[in-house]
Amino acid sequence: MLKLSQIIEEVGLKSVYLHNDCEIEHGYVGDLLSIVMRSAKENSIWMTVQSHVNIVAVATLTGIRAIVLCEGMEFPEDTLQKAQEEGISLLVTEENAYRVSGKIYSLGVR
Amino acid sequence: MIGMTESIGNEFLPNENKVYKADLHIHSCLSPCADLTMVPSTVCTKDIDILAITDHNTAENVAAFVCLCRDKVVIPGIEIHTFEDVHILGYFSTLSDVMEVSKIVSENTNPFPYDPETFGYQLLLNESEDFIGMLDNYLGFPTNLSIDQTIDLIEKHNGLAVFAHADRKFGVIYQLGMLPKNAHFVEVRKRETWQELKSTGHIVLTSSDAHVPDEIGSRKIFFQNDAFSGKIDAHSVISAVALGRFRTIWD
Repeated sequence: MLKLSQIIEEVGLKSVYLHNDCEIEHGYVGDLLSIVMRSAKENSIWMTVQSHVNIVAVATLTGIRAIVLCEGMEFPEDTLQKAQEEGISLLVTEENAYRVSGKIYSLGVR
Repeated sequence: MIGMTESIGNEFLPNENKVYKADLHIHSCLSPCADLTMVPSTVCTKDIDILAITDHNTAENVAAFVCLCRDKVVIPGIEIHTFEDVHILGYFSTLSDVMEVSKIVSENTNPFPYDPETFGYQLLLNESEDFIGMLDNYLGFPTNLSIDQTIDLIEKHNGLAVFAHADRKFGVIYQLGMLPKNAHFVEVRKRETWQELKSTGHIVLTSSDAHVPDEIGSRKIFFQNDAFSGKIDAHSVISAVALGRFRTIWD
């Protein structure tokens, strides 16, 4: 288990919206929402390339605490607004999901 | 539940000189992302002659629009959200066909109870435009149907399947990187995509995807009278689309 702020710093992620410095227990990678919804665990950090507003609904439903948007993409305004309402942290990175996940995994997050 | 008839009452008689304006992608107040003002008394005052009601994963409000928009041709429709996060439109000639598809879509979706305050209300209408209830399970999530299963479902119920806003989020090109080989009918947002897909032999249309009243008719297609043989109703409009007998805003 690691604090979100530790992950952000060690991996080099950029905060778009930081809700709180929560404990992260698990990591998850996925872009098909149906699969994320059935597989992601509570208190996870989620790496994806999906940026549409539904990702916030998925995070709320599953207990994902933070979403990392990979490959240099940007969150649209409606996603940012919804995340602020729902209390889901949003992070971005230029790197791809494989590299980011590898880095988080090597910090001990399973 | 409103009583359903096999034929749609709304139709026009042929008129040589008329050009018909059609917006074939409009959401009602049943779609969670659509405004509560997307009701027949607002939608049916807009300057379009032919409209399709295409809510996310349901057709339960279509009958209200058919009943109340008597001076328009209303195409029973639905916008199905596939497993791959792709939106596909289905257009049908009869209420019973679209309602059957709506039922099957519902049976192939995991129920997702949700908070309507956060993600939008899903309001059911009756034929007097009263709000009679809400759908409790979120319509904005994917079904368990694949693209192929969705197209099959639409076609088995005599419908026309069109890939929705292919060049935007939840569009097939955006999600999968390309059009599937068997794709024929595509709805686009951008002129460039329209030009490209026309040159590869696809039938390409554009519609508003209206979620608020002001968006209705913002993108549309046009039919000349000779696109139709006989009266103009849901069935003949769908046939005209299938044969590519229309112009877009870019033609």
